[in-house]
Amino acid sequence: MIKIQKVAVLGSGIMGSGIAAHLANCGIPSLMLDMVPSEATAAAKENAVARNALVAKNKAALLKAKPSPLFKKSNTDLIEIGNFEDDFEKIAECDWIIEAVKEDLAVKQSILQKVDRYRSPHSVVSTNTSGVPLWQICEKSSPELRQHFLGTHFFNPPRYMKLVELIPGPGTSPEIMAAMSAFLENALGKGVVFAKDTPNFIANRILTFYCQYIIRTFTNYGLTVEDVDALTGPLIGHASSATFRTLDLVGIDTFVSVMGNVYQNCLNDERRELFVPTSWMKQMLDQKLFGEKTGAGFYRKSGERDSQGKSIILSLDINTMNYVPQRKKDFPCMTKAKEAKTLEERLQALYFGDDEGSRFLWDVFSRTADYAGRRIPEIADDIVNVDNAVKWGFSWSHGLFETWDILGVRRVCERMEKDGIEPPPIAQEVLSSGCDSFYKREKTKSLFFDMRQKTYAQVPKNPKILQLESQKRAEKVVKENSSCSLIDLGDRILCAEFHSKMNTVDKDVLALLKEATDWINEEKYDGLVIANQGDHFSAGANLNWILGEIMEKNWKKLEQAVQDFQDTNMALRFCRGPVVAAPHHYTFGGGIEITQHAARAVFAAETYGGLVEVGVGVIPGAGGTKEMLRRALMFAPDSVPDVDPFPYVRRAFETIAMAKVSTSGVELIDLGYLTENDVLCLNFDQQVYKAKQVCLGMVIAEYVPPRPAVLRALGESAAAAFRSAVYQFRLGGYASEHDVLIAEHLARVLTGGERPEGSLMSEQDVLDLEREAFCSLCGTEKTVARIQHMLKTGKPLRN
Amino acid sequence: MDDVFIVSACRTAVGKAKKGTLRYTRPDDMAAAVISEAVARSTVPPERIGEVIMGCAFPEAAQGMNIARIAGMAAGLPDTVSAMTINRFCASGIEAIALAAARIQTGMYDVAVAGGVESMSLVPMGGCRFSPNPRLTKEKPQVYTAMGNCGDNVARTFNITRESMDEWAYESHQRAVKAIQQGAFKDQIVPLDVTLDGRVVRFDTDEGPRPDTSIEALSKLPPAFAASPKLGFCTAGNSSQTSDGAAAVCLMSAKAVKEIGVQPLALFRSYRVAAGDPSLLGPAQLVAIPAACEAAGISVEELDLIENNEAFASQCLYVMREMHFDPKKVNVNGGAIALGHPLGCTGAKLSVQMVYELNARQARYGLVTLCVGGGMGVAGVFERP
Repeated sequence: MIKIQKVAVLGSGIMGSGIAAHLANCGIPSLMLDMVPSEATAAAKENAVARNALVAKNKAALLKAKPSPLFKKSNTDLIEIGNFEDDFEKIAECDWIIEAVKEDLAVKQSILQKVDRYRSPHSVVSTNTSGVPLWQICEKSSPELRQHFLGTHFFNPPRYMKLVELIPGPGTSPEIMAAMSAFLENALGKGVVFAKDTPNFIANRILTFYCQYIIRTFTNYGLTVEDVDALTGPLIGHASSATFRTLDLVGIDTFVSVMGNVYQNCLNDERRELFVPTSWMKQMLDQKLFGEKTGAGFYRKSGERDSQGKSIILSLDINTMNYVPQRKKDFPCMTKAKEAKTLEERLQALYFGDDEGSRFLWDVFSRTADYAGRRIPEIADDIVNVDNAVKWGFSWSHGLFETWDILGVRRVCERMEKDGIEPPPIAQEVLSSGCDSFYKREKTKSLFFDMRQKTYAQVPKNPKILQLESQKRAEKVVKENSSCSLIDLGDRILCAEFHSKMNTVDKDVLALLKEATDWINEEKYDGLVIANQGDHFSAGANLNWILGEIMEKNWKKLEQAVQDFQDTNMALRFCRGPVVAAPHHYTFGGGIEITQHAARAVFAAETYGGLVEVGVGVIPGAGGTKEMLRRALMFAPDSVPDVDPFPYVRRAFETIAMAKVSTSGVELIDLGYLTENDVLCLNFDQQVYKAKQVCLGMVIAEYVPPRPAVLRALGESAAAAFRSAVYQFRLGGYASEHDVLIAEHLARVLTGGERPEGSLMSEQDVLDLEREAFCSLCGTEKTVARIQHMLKTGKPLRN
Repeated sequence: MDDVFIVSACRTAVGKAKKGTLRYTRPDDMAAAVISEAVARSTVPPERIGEVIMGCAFPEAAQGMNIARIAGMAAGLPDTVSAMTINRFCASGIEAIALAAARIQTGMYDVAVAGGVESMSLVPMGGCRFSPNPRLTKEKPQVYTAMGNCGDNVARTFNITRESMDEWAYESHQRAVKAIQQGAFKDQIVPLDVTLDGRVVRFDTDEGPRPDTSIEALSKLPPAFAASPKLGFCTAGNSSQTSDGAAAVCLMSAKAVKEIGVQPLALFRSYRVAAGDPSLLGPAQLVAIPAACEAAGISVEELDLIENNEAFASQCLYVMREMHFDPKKVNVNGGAIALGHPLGCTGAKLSVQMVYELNARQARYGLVTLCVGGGMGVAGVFERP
């Protein structure tokens, strides 16, 4: 088994530095090397500053890149830099060497020869090429290197894009492929697909076809650039940048070159002629209309703003090659899709409608699906790898074959035939084998139609992935209501899964959380995991619930609701068995409060969380403020003489008052929401499994719940310091009058009400202050306006 | 009243707080270096010194324990030389000089060392633990108005434009860079050997001035203390820099000058303080400046050189405009926007710079004036003998 403790990254461009950054995110040190800049080739070897100027510049750029390639800025400490001429021998210390230099065969070959000379035997060597054949790159390499050589094709940006295509070279040992696949999934949190050494591998091969097919056909349907993007974006489960905006981001020049790779090297591709740029694309290249990088592509900013201050963006009219104002059309299929209740209905409406938009979507889908079907086994052994490649590489919600299943294999084939397309062999095989779908689910198993065996085979699964969906299919749900399910995860561990809209917390969620703690206290189960595999962990308390009570002036009920949430959280905190929360993606307000009352959090790498209650005009009322105070005071225990808790409480004050949201999971710790005891989970797919393991570990270690904390009030002087700070914020225009009022309430809770400095408080004392503040703010007009605005627009109102 | 002479004057070079060369240097060590040098240059036998007075804006932590006494001891002064630390925020350094001069005039002693010190790297502005009076935060919160907000208030209240502020900031850097190039500060700076990242570094040049800054770059900076350019005018570029440094002078009565036989550098003529609205910086200077000039028996027009501390370009320009100062006479070697503003040191540092510049230009009257947090302002007049 290989052990990867240090990695060499050769090349520090966007991909090389992005990979090094992500390795650092995962705690893996790297050595990043690049060329000596031409002006420094004569510089003395000792003059590392001059000779490392290029790599140093690229490393520094990581700190400014947006979205940030780093979980936290200090992660760059793990990236050591050097240059190809003076530091190459250092790659001997590395267990994995990634080549990410420019896409030029000769350059890659010469780098690999150097790698051959300096690497340690057994180290893994990979190329991040997106197009150069592996067999050519390693042509001149030693047999030992070839055994350890493979393609690891990351997608940009490496931190955010789940996909890594693994490509075996001509001599790669199967052990290396397996080990690297496990490493990429478990240690770097990536999703691996197995590709073959064919031009553009899987994802880019399919995507170039898809985009180029659109490019060649959209005008036949009378569509404009913006029509295409309106049709091919989130509506069909693709990224919001859809098609042409994506091409602008990628660069038309890059796209044409990637496409050319297919044309030049796939001589037997039945659609080879499609991969030639159209005449107007050539014009775009001539006029340097490359997209984002040259300021104009399919879209261009007009430089003017509309009545709402938004920048006006023009689109390219390919008939005249002029930029013209966008004219967005509404197609009947769009309206129908928006009305659809299920995904199936939505896709049927989009692909099987009879308007131009729908016929266009069908055309693109059927041709792309046909093309993809014919690429098996050329580019991949099976549909799973093809579907995963487009889903993880381009954030498509569904793969082509998954979509095909939803639309109906037979129905799609019949229409294809009507259009004069012969369905690809794999689709014909599905039907002739008496099957009616590419995929099939059986209790906990997921199956796919395997062309090699002409029957269903199990979708390969990492043993560290525990899918709640399959647990549910296996009838492991013990109790459920419309917002939450309690699922038996086995080993006497229970899981509370939210499934309300945006996973907001309402009465039903609280009821089942409470019940779960009761069961554990009664020893029916040993521990609880609070986790879900939705888009977001939780957007916080259900605002409709709160607003309803406010509008009805049910102040008693409102207070009761807050108290119920507080009591449930306290039940989690003092539950006899361990409670492990698994926040991920959006984890706001109540979501953070629940997490803070768990014995431990197993948080996803991509968690964007915070106590954002101020945005809706209140302070955290379900124990979040209390927890922030308790956690702050832990930094200043009584056992440390003369310790000053104030700076820690001030951080809590600022974090809540400014509604700070983390840009990554680990930043939750820096903001004081979580602690170093909480556990980072790099692979989102493995989060539930990992949370269960942590919970189980605590059970094995004879978990004892915490003792209630005794908190020392900071008193009036500290409250005055907060008041003074807020006064300055008001002067500077950072805070509105209502913000000042909210901050006053917050300061009061965090400093102990009117209690004298040093008085002792129980957790319940602080909860009582918190609840009082929350309810008092709910009685103000401006808070109501903030809640209503959030419900209406999803954005906070500054009033 | 009897004349009081400044017979020696020196300062450290000024370091950028938190990221500069002096970021780990203890303020008491910096103060000791300038005290010791001021004493040596004055040729006074140390036991003759009546008192050491040091100003410091946040005299706590590394600046606590009566830093004047600690620094005096660290400078090797005899145990018998008493010491005290005083605080008038940004004017502390000149306040120390004025207090020593007054005590010499009243005959308490005839030789004193006075100055100021601040490490904004080691003791934050606002102190280690800001703890305002709860009643005042409710009834009169403006008492605690942060300096940046005061700077914006001045610009807004008295119509000082962002453009003029950026232009002045640019001028400050230009003048400071030129002064350093021409060695204008060379004689007044006491070089320090400081340990930085395990290496000993000689520090003898002010590190704040930026030769590469431009009006264009300055004009692009966002407001530093406000949410929008409509509310805020002060930026990181047109406000003073946070800094580390120390400065000290040796003062003597005329009699002591004669006895010890030292050549005086300047006369400390007068000193006045005024106070006003705590949410503004500058107006109090307009009261203190004419008062100090009157006490010195001169008119404001007779001033040859002016050091008007650039806490903020807004306050500096406001005072210049209202006092009809000729910009050519003000901050001739650059001000705190370029050279830095080590709070409690600055009043003494500007006095040191003034004494040297009066001699360099063979000029006669010089004014050192500073705004002070809490709505105060001070002014002191120097004369080349």
